[in-house]
Amino acid sequence: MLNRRTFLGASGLTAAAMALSARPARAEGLPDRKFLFLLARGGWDPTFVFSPQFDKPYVDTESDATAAVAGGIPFVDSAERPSVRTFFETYGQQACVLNGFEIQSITHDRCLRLLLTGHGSAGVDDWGATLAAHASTELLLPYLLLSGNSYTYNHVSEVVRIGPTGQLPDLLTPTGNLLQSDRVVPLPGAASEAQVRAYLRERVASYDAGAPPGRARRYAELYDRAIGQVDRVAEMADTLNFRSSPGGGPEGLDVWGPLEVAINAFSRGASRCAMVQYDGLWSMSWDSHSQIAFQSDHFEGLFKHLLAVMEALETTPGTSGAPLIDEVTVVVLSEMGRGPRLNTWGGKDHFTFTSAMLLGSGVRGGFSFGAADDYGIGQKLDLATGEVSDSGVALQASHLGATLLALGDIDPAQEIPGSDPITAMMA
Amino acid sequence: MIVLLALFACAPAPSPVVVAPVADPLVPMDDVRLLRRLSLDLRGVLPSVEELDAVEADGAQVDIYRDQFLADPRLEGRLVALFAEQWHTLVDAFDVDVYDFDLTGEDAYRFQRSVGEEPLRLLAYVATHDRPWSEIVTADYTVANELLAGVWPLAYPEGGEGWEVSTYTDDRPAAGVLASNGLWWRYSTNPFNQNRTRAAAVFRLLVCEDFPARPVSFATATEGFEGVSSADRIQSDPYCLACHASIEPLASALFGFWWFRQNSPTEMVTYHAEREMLGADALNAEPAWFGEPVAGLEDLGRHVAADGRFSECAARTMATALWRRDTVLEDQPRIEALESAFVDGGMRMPVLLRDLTDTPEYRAGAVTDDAPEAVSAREVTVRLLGPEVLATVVEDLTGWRWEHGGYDQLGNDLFGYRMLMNGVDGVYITRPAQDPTLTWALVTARTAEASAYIAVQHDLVQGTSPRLLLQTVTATTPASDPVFQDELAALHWRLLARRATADDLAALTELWSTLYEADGSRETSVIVAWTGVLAALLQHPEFLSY
Ligand code: HEC
Repeated sequence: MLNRRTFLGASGLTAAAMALSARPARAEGLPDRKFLFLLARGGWDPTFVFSPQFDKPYVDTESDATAAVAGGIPFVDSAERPSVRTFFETYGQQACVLNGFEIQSITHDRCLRLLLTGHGSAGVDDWGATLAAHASTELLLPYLLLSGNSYTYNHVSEVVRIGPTGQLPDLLTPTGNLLQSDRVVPLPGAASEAQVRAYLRERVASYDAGAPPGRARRYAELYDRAIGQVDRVAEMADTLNFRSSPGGGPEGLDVWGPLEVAINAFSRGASRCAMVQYDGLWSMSWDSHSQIAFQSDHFEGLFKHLLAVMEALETTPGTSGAPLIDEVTVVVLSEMGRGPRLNTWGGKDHFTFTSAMLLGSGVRGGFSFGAADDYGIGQKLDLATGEVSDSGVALQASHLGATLLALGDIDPAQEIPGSDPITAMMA
Repeated sequence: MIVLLALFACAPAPSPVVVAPVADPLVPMDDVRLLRRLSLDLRGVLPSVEELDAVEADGAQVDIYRDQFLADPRLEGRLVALFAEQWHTLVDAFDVDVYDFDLTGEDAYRFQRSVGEEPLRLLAYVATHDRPWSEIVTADYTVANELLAGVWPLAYPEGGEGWEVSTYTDDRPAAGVLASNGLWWRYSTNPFNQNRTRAAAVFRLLVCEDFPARPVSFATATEGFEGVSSADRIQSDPYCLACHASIEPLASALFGFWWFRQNSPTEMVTYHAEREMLGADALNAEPAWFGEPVAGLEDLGRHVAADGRFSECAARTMATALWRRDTVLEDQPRIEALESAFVDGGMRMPVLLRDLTDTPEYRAGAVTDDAPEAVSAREVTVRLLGPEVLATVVEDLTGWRWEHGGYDQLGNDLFGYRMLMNGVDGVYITRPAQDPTLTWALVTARTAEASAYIAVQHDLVQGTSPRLLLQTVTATTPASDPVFQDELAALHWRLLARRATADDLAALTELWSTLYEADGSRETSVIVAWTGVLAALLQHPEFLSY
């Protein structure tokens, strides 16, 4: 049988070639850097936290908030958002904010696709799937999609969906009856299943051996891999505690359940990437076309989660024994920004410029890069210094993606030619 | 070359589609497996043993069967599923739900799917009832079922059953899917969006113009527009007008479906003719189709049908569905050939489907050794059973559908496993994936195990006839009996459409014996062993692909 990494195109090769050119390359023996994506779905307003704009007459800003700095990071401070202040005071030195990058679309689904892949149309893989595909070891749940979106083309098989209501664990019962079924159907039992899987793997190998050029080999390769994962996943189901995936946590931590599953999967070396979506207060979505003040509640909730995430990463050991914070980069994103001015409903409409924040491993902490002009339009940036500069680059989602790939020891030039990483954001 | 010419000289005139660009790097699959592919794509079931035998004896029979499948009543349901992959209307939630109507929670799934299927059923009806394809945007009828007839203003035929041609009774214009509630419930809008999402959907689905796929940069503002609001720029900035000059007039034409209140069932069920003129005001644009003024929805439908891109888009849509991949630039000559044959054939969908199933891209089972990398990466020479086809195949084999509380478990994502099996839900997954994944393998495993259990209970425990899968063995047939080997061979042929080799049979026999002995060789062990063997065959790489 072909080795998956040689088989799946250039991926194996690029990973190897990469180690030479990427920066910062992981030291010998260290586990792959991992990525936790936290998605604020609906489009946040960066002027509520990341991008103080009080000096710009054209930009409508909160009346009872002020510009402040903590942990080296300039941010918008408000008594309504104690968690934001606490967060920057505690973890600002591990955080790097990027302002004023553009996601060139006006509709949520395309913006999300652009944010996560750098492309507006299908036929490409997102950052999470690409990073997972380049893992240096075979993973059980390469890209664990607890909620949110993933876009894939070549790397479909890297993504493991839990299901919108956490369905996956219901499939992991090798004994007893089929779950979620009207008809009572006893299942065969683990031993019998294992025999069937052994038969299948042997048949897949024989199919692969006789496979003509084309899709057949890829199919055999990936089916074999999937059966191998099925073999192992049932055993790990309890330790990974999938059952808590749709659940909330302590007061105000609505998506703590999936975050905990993700952190757990990292700590057991099961995953390289995971995504969790946070829909804001009462899951009402960040899409504040009216009543922009809800952004304040959404950000407070988001940072409450981030405080808990950082604490967990600092106290949970990874596979090497060191705390996970040494190997996990947290990527905090939203698919669009909101226009500088209030509309007639007291909300703000879609805007192509937005912000993002990286935390933890590999990140140049205590910095905020990028800026908006008087009308909220992002300024060009020198990727190496992070200085605003007319000779710099107009920032797009692809530059952020290139940065993530570089942090993951993947050569961005191979994956997204033309978009260089923002090295200023990298430690 | 000479040989080829000679062959063509005596063959009946080949359709232009087949001779068009020669797709050398593609190797056709064998006739029997091709029969299986056709049967799954066009009927959603495996070929019968008689059909397999006939094609094995005479490969030419495959085209005769193909023509029969194109006239099969199951084609309609298959087209619904294929259209759903691109129209994305089979979503799990709309702005209103079952409780907004005089229905109970038990109807929840049927409600969601009925709404989402309405436009697709209309498409499938036109496709399979010898109607010109243009009728999808000009029809003065829709296709509805009893549930929809109970909640929407519809005249549904007395004594009708299931999906039937019906008419809206609220005097809405005759514009086919453009006048269907289902489409606009899926593509709903709001006061900020003002039907623009809907306009973008019409462009994508009917003329294959994907505006949102193009970049929009607010930094690329024309000089002098700094600080001008989006609402004003959209009207005057030439950069924005590049798209919005087409979007606003179409959005403006759709205001009969404008709702004053979101999430309001009374607003959403009826057409509002008196609101048609609101669009011109709201968007500052008179209704038009790419610069040609339109007088109402009916006229819009006629303009869409007359647009040169409409028939090409139909060819592209069906090619995407049957080639199991997006079309690319290199496909253009083939798409054009398909389109012109489609138009010459009076825009009848079976003509297009027939030509498409003749294309090398459809029939390919492999690529040549020296195929360009781009071709071998692109062509889906092996296709995966998706959730929808797996469900119909299993139901055909065993009579069982995986259902729970009214939900089809392979057809939803609230409680079920459609997305976990790589299926298109229309929101999170918008194109069918063709690679096995962990969750795909899990769902197929559970489905296979349950189907195997049901078949063995039926065939061996109850011994009900006619048998489902095990035709001759009984609960006491030993593995050494020749009948036993014949049974395995017959199953292999029926389920995989390939004759079992000695090696195949040996592997199955070994699995059977291992399971039998592991169970303690009791009386029930035969049941356990057969259940395992059937579950294995139903997860065999050649069963789950086609
Ligand atoms: C490449 C084509 C294109 C260009 C250029 C373009 N738009 Fe759009 N725009 C669209 C499409 C398509 C939609 C509807 C998308 C949807 O809702 O699905 C849209 C929707 C909108 C909406 C409604 C958003 C909402 O809330 O749903 C606004 C406002 C808008 N555009 C403003 C602009 C402005 C201002 C410009 C110029 C700076 C512009 N657009 C340039 C294609 C374009």
